[in-house]
Amino acid sequence: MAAVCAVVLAGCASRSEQDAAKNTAQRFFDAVSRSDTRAACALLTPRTRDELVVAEGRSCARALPTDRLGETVESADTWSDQALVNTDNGTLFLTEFDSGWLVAAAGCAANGDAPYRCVVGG
Amino acid sequence: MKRGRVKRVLRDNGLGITFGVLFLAALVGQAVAGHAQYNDQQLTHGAQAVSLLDFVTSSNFVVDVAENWQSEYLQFFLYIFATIWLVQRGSPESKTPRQAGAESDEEQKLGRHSTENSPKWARAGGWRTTLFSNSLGLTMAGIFLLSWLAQSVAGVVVYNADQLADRQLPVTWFEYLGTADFWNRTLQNWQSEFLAIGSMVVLSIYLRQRGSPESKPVGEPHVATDEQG
Repeated sequence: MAAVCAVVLAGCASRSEQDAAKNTAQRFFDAVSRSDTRAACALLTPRTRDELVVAEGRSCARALPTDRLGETVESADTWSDQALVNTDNGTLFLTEFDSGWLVAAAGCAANGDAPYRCVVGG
Repeated sequence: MKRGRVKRVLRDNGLGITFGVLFLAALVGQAVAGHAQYNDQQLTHGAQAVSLLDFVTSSNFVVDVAENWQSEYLQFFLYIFATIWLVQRGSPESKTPRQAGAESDEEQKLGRHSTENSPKWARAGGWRTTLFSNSLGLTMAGIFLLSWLAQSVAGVVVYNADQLADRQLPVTWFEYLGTADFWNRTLQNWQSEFLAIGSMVVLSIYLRQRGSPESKPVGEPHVATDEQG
């Protein structure tokens, strides 16, 4: 299977991609924990940042709900340009850009068979 | 002299060369169209567009190519084996009912019936002749299985990326083999192949294409089987 992945695919989950996604998630949490919401917002995808601003009617740095997003990264899973990072308080979903992984949704909780409910980027 | 040889090679291999060129042209067209569609979807989902090179080496392109390949090779593999035993009276695609089965060594030019021009492994006897006797069907079956495997491996990557983009959990490869996505991709190709080959078998009983070896001669009766025009 690994050989098939190596030959046929560019999308099989690799350890370095998982580490890169976890790294972005941890930097996001670090920024949130030191209340540097400007830095945290810089780690959101453009779409998620725009949606937050429109939904809250304030700048991203002011609108980011820092108390419900988690603090510690636990594990990651990547598929193509999408990643899921499990944390001590819910789940993060990330998307890969040329600049690296960015947070597409944060503070997400399972919702039965329906999509996760997310505090940011639902 | 050289020009004459090129001309002869083109004439002697026109069928293979034409379909090889058509295949490459269609594959390039699929890549270009698929790339444009993929980037539209990426922008819709708030992700970034990718280059054509990134797209053709992605699971998205591989799964779309492989799901069609597997069904084509399944079609030929099944047809090659099914036509050994199953017949369709009146179809030029079929043997006569009397010929159903693997046929005699004499009919297949094997053993003492082989000639000096017979392929080496046809004359060799033992496992080599057995293997060579089934090499066409087995190769088609092998390519089918490899293509189907590639479809499943690329398919789970695409499926899981979509799952994550929709804020849902990914599945394992084994779980993916039981998903509607895998079987929808598979069966939508199989049904069209089975329809096409069934149509060919039956329509060729009553319809003709003058000059084509896929058809009976135009004046051949409908009931005639195993005749080529």
